[in-house]
Amino acid sequence: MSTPAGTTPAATGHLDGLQSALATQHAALYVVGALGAQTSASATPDLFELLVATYAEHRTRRDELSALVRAEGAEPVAAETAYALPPDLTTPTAVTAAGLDVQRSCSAAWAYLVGTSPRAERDYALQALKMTAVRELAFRGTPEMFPGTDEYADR
Amino acid sequence: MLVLGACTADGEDTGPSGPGVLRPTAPPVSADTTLATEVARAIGDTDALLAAVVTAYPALRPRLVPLRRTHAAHLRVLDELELSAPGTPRAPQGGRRVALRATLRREQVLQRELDRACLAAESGSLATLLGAMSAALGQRLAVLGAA
Repeated sequence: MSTPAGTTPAATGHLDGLQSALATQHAALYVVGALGAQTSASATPDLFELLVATYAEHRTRRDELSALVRAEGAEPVAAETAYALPPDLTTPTAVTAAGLDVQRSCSAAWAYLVGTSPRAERDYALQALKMTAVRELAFRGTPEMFPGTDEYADR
Repeated sequence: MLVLGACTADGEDTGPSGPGVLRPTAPPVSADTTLATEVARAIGDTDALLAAVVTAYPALRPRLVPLRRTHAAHLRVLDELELSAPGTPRAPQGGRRVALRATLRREQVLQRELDRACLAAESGSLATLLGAMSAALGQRLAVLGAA
């Protein structure tokens, strides 16, 4: 998945942050859809329900971001034809781990958008970052000191 | 006659260069510096409450120490700021459960303060940092069942 890691939020524009977040949501939709296809609703109902809810959330975010990009007078970045999937998705543990990776990538994209958004429009990204960070926990993530940014991770 | 010298960032005294010279002794404080100082003070105050609660109710230590670690990590990032010493709040009376509820409410107040500061920050990098701090508190509160 493409993430904006390594870039400097303050040095780039709001539109770039929106497009990066949108590209990440495209990838998240693809991967989470694939994870759902690998998950049994009867054998692992909790995981299946989590993936269904997560997929719906990513779809909503994708649509919202597309509208925000258009509102900026630009064409929303299109989804890729396909995205790389983890090689082994045969166990619930592997599916859960892949789901956590997706959420972490999304957190990074939201944190980036927080930094690139003008103040009046920053709340959208902030709320999304907070929600995504909490969802990481549902995929067995552990609390981090600075979700969405590894710039301060060694503090 | 009033003569004031100034210090450079590396502490070197530049001294007065002439009689009657009046120079500022500190650079102007930006809005973001003020904001970060307020946030650091709020974190320090909240952590002081946690310390009191953990001392009064040691059984809460396993649940609350991770929050204190989060506060410490956040303060380290802001550690170049001069902070006023936090007060010494007493742990709430009424037992462990009451103390825990009061502590979590205080953490929620701190999270809202971080959100407010994030939205007010002028620099994008400070906004990102404050947003990540808020998200970290959100994770901790979710683990503690208070999100």
